[in-house]
Amino acid sequence: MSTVLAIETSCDETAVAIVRHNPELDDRHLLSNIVSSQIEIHKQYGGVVPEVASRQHVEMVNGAIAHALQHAQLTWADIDGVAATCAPGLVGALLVGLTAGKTLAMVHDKPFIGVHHLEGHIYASYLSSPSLKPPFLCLLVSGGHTSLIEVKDCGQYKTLGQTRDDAAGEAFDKVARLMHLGYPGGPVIDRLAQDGDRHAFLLPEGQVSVPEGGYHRYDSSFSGLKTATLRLVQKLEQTGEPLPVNDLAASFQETVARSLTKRAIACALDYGFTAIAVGGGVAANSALRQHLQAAATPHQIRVLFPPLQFCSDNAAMIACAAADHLNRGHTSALTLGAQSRLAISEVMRLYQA
Amino acid sequence: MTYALAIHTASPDLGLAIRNFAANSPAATDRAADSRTQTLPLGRDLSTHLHVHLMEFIQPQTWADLSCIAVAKGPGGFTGTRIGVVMARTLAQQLKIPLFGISSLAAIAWSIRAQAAGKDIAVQMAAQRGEVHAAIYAFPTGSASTTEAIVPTLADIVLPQEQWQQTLENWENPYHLVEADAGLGKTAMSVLELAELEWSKGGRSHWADVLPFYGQSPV
Repeated sequence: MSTVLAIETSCDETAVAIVRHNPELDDRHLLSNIVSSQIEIHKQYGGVVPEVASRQHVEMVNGAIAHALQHAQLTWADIDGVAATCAPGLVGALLVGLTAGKTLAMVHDKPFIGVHHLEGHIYASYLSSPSLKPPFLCLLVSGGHTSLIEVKDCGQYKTLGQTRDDAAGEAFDKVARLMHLGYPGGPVIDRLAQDGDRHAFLLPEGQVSVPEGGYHRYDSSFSGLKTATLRLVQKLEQTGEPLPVNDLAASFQETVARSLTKRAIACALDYGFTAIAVGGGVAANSALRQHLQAAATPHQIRVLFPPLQFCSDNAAMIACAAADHLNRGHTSALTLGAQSRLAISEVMRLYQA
Repeated sequence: MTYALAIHTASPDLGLAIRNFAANSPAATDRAADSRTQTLPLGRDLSTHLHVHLMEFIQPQTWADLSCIAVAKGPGGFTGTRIGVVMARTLAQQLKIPLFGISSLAAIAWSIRAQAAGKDIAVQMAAQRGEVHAAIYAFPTGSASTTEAIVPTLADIVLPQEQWQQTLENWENPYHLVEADAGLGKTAMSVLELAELEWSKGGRSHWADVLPFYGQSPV
């Protein structure tokens, strides 16, 4: 049994959480979950400014550490390890949480566990669905990532499909910006789409060609969709009429949801997965939820959408992944660095032999 | 609980200093003997190797021996300064001891005050976008010969190069100008001494109030 305090600062949320994991009982208990979002600060810039994010993390992280312990009613004697997200993400932002985490481990003489952000998103599903067991497929869709990951075991992953350009969440942000809807784009587009006609405009889904001919079954591309939406918006703006934002939002969202669903289902069927766990902020999207659920049911594929608080960036999922690694004896050196990129198949490189 | 620890990461080298500073301190000579400082040219490895070097450096003392921490709060490299400040804030928070954030420019001035021979010390450091971090310090001599003081007559500020030149030309006191180089770790003991000075005046700065001094906007 391990109780781990984890810090997540890979992008624009400063988060600290404590999870107790009992591997014999398969029990993962969330003892506290502090998330301090910087969205309001980044809104004025229309997106996340890395240096602004790093500065905010410095101001927030220590308070969040204190709150997490207070909320869990624990002292350092109850904590078995300290974890921090170390890759992938904004290096300057990661370094704040990583430095704080290492310092806690050092001063309290606890093992340190570096965590891959995407492995954290996978563990969000274990946290909300205790019965979930590998192997399964994880569809990870956020502002920075769009991946189909084969989950084999703790630390054992293979990327089966990914975006060739923009992440799905990034496409939402960019399209929201060109429709003058502000940042972040996901929630506002989803809201407007509720009152729009999803078949009003036909937008390209974005196929990735393969050299042998035909298209990649699992990889996606969203930059063409973004450009097509831009052209469409420009054309509509020239008419002088008010922009049909509801129809545009619904049509765009429909295209993204259809594209992601098609690839996830194809991948699950080809590999024989009986469960798809969805993670990342875009997992909150209502069209994606509807499409994926509807497409999976006839094939007896179980689709798991974690609650929204575990889809977006949080430290509960990081603590959850770290506790599993710690229970298996995986710990990191205090010289572990922050990395902007790291393939999820390389997760075990974060731990000492 | 009688030691002060200083951390300087605002430039590419790591500067560490530790010194016994019991309130009922032994004679100055003993205190000097019970102090040490180290400068490591870590460069890009600073963020990864900071912790292991500090763990080696602190021995034979332990974390429980620390009664306050001092950190160079900048100006300097944004990322490097931030790493030192995060580490210092976390240490101070966990050990429940005061944290003093010391200007890297003040530490430079303090480290060369003997050379200035009564003159003010003007410190400049290249900033981003062609600007310059600048400050001017005076060292009034107190009535008691043991008390030393530093007064920022021009507090840390970011200026266009020309404006700084003008400020210096119009400065009424004689001054000694020094340019900050890339190796500020050697001023870690000055960071510690300036914190001691604040401590001796009754200052007990809380970690929550110590943040990096960037001097420049992030965008």
